[in-house]
Amino acid sequence: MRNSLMPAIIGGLSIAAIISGLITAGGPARGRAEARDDARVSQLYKAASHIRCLAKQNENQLPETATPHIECPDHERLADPFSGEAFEYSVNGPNDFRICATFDLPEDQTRSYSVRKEHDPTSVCFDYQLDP
Amino acid sequence: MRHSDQLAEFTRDALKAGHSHADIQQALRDAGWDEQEIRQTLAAWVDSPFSPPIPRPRPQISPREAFFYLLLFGTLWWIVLHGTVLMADTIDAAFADEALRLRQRNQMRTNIASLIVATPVFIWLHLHLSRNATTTPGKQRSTVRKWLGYLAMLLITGLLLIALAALVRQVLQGGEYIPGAIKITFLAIIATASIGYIRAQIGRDDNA
Repeated sequence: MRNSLMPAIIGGLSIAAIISGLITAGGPARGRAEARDDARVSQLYKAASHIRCLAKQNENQLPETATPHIECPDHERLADPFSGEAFEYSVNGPNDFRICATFDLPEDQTRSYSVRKEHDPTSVCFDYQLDP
Repeated sequence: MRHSDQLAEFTRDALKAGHSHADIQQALRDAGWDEQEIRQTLAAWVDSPFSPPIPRPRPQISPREAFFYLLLFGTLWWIVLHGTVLMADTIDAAFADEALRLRQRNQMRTNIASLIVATPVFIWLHLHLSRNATTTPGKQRSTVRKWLGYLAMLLITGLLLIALAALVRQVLQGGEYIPGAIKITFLAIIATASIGYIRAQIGRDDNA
C-alpha cells in the first residue's frame, strides 16, 4: 500500500505544482506574446539607431519625419516586425525623440523599462536621446 | 580471517550441525555479537530443517540495476528540487502586490518543464522496478538500491533543509506569515512523501 501511496503523492504534488505554475506564469500563448514583444523592443532599439543615423546626415538635427536616406538603409526597422505597422516617431526636443509601438503585453514593458504608456492601452513609447 | 567471515563460517557450521535459527541467534547474542550482524548473517540462509542449509540468493551488483536506480532517485531529486522552487514562486506570486516579471516567469517555466519531463519518468521507473522486484524474487534485495537510496536521501534532506532555512530567513526579514505557512506545509508533505518513499525502497535492503 505504502509502496504505491508515496509515488502517488509525489506525482500528485508535481501535477499540482505544474498546474498552479502554468496558471501563474502563463502557458505557450503568453510565451509567444512575450517573444513577440521582446523582438519589438529589439526592433525599437534598431529604429532609434536609424533615427540617429538620419540625424547625423542632417547636421545632428533630429529629422521631423523618418524618411529613407541612402546613407541610412535600415528604414524597414521603423515598423513592427510582425504586423508591419509603422512605429510612431516624434521629436520631443533638440536631442530627445520618442518611438511608440503596439505591444501584446504592454504592462510587461512598463515594468521592465522606463517607458511611457499612451492613451492607447496597447501602445508603449520609448524615449531616446540623440547621444546615447 | 575477517570478523564477518568468522561469523558467516560459524553460522554455516551451526546450521549444518542441525541447529535452528533461533538457537544460533541466542548463542551469538550470548557471545556478545551485534544484533544487526546476527540478523544479516542469518538472513543469508533459509530457515528450514532441510540439510545441508539452503543459502538465500545474494544481492548482485549489476550496472543495469545501478542505471535504473540512479535514474529513479535522480528523477525524484529533480522533482523535489523543481517542485519546491516552483511552489514557493507560485505562492509568492499569489501574495505579491505586483505581477510577475518576465525573468520570474521564465524561471517558473524552467521548473514546469523539468517537472513535466521528470514526473512521468519517475512514475514509469517506479512501476517498472516494482514489477521486476515482484516477478523476480532475487531482485527484492539490492545493494545498489540501498546505497543509492541513502545517497538520494542525503541529497533530498539537504535540499529540504536549505529550503527550510530560506523560509526561516524570509520570516526573519519580516515576510508574511500566511505564505510562509503554506510553503512549510508543502515542504512537509513533499519531505514526508519523498523520504518516506526512499525509506520504503531501502527498508527491504537494510537486512541485506
